[in-house]
Amino acid sequence: MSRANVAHTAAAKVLSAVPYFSELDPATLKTVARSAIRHDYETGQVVFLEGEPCAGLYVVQSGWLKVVKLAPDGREQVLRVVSAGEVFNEVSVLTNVPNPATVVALEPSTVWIIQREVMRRLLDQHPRLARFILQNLAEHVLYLVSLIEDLSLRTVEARLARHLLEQASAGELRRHRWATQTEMAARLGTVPDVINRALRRMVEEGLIEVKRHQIRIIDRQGLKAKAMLDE
Amino acid sequence: MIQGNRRLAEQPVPLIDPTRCDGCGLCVRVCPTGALAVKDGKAIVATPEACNYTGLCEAICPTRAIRRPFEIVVLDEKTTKVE
Repeated sequence: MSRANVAHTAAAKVLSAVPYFSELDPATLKTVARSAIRHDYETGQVVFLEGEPCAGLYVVQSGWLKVVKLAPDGREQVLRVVSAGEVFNEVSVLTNVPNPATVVALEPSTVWIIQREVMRRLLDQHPRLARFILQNLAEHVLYLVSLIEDLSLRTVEARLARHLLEQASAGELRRHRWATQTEMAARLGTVPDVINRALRRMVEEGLIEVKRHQIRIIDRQGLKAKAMLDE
Repeated sequence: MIQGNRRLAEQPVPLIDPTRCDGCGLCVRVCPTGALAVKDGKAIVATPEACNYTGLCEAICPTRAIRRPFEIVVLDEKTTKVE
């Protein structure tokens, strides 16, 4: 067997292990495998950068990679981690946009790229494949939505902590400040349900206690830390 | 709208906005202490001394007519207990 054939047998093996490619008949699988391009990466090596034109669908044969968004100040938000048998960059197959994120190898990894045109033809001819990809993307969207919710909740907690400290210390001790959760939400740019959850988290963390109508700050330093105020 | 007066401090109860309340009665059913009732098509805190401020009424109200005012205080050595 020629070296090319051996390589593409490996590709076919990897592809057949991926849930949605496993639906394809052997002949189609072989055709796809033959057009697949293999890439090997060392630990820490960048597979592709956000914004670069996308090469196609990536299938992981081995290794461990992270999908991240990088902030200008160098901060990194991990969106996803992929390992053997998983697929990434499905987005590129369906749209014409450049890579939506950066992918970096966390350990020596091997991936196979299936070019966009090949994928598009496959999708036209195999509705079940299309359905699988849709389901995958939908699940990913759900996960991202919960991630966004989490991130924004943390920001609200910091704002709420600061707000509680400010409200408690405004004026003399005798002047009590009253607020409903709805008012707090409007002030902090969120909704009452989020304020409710943030308050409950702070209670769990021992920063405040809620006794009837009173929100009592019991750990002022802790709350300051949560508000990220330095002192 | 929310007055920081002594009357409120004595026995705070959830505020029910009659322009939002449609008298559905969910709050009455969910209240663990039976403090609420529907009168003339609107929910009211019929038995304020029974109110535990659990907030189930606020959470369940479909029109967001119920709001509990909160007082934010700091408890440390310098503060005397708030009445």
